[in-house]
Amino acid sequence: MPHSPVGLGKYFWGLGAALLSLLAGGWLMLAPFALGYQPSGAAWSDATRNDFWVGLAVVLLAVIGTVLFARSLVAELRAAGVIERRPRPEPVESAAVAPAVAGLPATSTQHDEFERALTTLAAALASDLAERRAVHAGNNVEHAASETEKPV
Amino acid sequence: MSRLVSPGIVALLLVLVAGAWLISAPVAIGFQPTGAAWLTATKNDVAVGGLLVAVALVGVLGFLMLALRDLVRAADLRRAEAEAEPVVEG
Repeated sequence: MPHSPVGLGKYFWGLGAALLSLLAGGWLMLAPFALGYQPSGAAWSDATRNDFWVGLAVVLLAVIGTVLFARSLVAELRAAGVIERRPRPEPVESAAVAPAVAGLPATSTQHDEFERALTTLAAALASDLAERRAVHAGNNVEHAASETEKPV
Repeated sequence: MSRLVSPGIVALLLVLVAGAWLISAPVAIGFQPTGAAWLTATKNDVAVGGLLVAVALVGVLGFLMLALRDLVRAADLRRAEAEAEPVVEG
């Protein structure tokens, strides 16, 4: 039977090594004071300086290594479909209309809302105007009819 | 496609270099007199340096071995799939 091609053990191996290095680096920074070869209050000896700075470097390297191994692990899980890919933001529908409104960013949500409100307002105004024109035209027809019906 | 070798390996290799430096530091810096009994600082540096070298080596080699094993398994799987597909004669 063929095995699954997804191999995660190597990343845990690397993570384990990086975490052990982190502990060792931390100990190295504390060792001069914990083991007593750095007298308190005195200037740091060569051994203390070396242990502290090398310990700090090891801690930083271990943290970087942990992050890199963890990222590789997540990438492998994503490639295998265990973790879903992040959805890409969908393109804005009104991108073609956007340049008409100067000074506003074309892809912003605020701009979309502003444009939608303007469209609604324009539609309402147009229907209102059409209604008034219809009413006005109706009045004119009635007035003309009454004028023609008057006796001479 | 994910990379064959994680960039974390580079960090482990640098840890290995730091461990090697720690082992040689007491003599290189000169706080350990030649021929005298080892100081506490020297013992600590050699022990932690040796631990770091061992951990980094085991981490790097283990990672590479497992990565190689994954490659072999993936190749086996591809071969098995290729053999299972029916041959279409045109």
